[in-house]
Amino acid sequence: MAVRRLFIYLGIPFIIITAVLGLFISESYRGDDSVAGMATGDTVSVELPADEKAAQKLVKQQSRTLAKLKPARPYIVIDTYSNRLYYRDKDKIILEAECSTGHGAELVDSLTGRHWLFNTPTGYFKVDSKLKQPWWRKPDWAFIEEKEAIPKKESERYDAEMMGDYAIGFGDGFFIHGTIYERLLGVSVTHGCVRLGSEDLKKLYEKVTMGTPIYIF
Amino acid sequence: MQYKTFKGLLVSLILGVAALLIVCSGNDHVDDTAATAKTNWDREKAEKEYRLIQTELWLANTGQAYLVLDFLTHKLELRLRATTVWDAPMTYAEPDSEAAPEFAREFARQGISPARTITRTHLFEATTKVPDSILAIVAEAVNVTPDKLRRELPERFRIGWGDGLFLEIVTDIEGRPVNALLNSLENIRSVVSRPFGSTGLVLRLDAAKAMTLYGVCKPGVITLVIA
Repeated sequence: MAVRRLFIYLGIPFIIITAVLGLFISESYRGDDSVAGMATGDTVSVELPADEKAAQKLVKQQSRTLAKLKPARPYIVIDTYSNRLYYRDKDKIILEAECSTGHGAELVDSLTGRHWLFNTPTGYFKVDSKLKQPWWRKPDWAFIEEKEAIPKKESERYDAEMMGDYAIGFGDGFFIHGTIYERLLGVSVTHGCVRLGSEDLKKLYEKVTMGTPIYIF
Repeated sequence: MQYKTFKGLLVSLILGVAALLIVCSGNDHVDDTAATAKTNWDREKAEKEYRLIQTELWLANTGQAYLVLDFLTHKLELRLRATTVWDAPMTYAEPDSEAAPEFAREFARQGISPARTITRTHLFEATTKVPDSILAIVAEAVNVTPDKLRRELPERFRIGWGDGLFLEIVTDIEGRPVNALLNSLENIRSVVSRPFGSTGLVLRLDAAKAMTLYGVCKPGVITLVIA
């Protein structure tokens, strides 16, 4: 009986503690296979030609290819986690502003089964339109979200106030625009567009041109 | 006398030519060695540079943001398509001159790529950017759960790449423990793994910068080390 109790009070906790620690240590020491796979696999070749001149030429060529990816002009950066927008030129930040980005929630239309995911897209884009006094054409989800009937008349979809004084278009119908809810800037409350305060929006609108690169992460 | 003079001149000439040949052959030897050393050095450097360029070109084409630890400029950077989208200076929280080079060495020790994938992150203490009471009101207004809107301002968090490699970020803000039990387990893990060759680096960062870094550095994000 004594041995059994000893096992229960000491042995079982010892086994559990050892297992937990072992699990943590093994997790700590698990390296990454994916990047090693990337470097050694088909995607990336890390072998330089044996001939010195050919090798040097290849390094220069690849270096130029990499440099060409970097923008030669000022660019917009949108940090969706911190909800901040930057207009920068290499290491210099020209404009920094609080913004609001997509909240990431999903909306499902219970009648039709259609669904929308309200994320701000991430990646590389370019300014593809600049609008003054933009009107917002409300898409179907705007009515579904408000539990309103989708209007049959096109004219009932337009809202002149919601987007502020300017809109800078990018991607698949997304805009950097103004808002009537400036107190919510800094919080991810949009349906995917990027909202800015009116002063910052005016400054940004005046600085950017068509084709200005936009990086969103 | 004339014969002796001629003989003397001839001997001097032979000795001069011999000396010249020795010097020239010596110079040739030195030049060859220098050329060999130069070729070897250049190739090694070129291979390292090529590896870095190739890896970054691959990362640029993923369309995702990646973390760069640049030990040459002492900067932390987030890049997207080879372009800097966020950067912060590397301010070492612990004045150990060997910690950074050791970290960089360990990072590149395995494999031929200077990149690794983040395998885990752990947030020790943090505070929320917007108070929960306000978030609840906003969340109700926009019809989402407050979790979707919450952003953590970290006091301390850790990024791990496996093999005992980790980067710890500390800030000046005062936060609350996110989960006391998990924090204790993380500390135990850290102590236990040290004898097995754990290599860590502790950096001090501005809280707003740390918030972005914490938000981006999730498991699966690739990290590039330049050293």
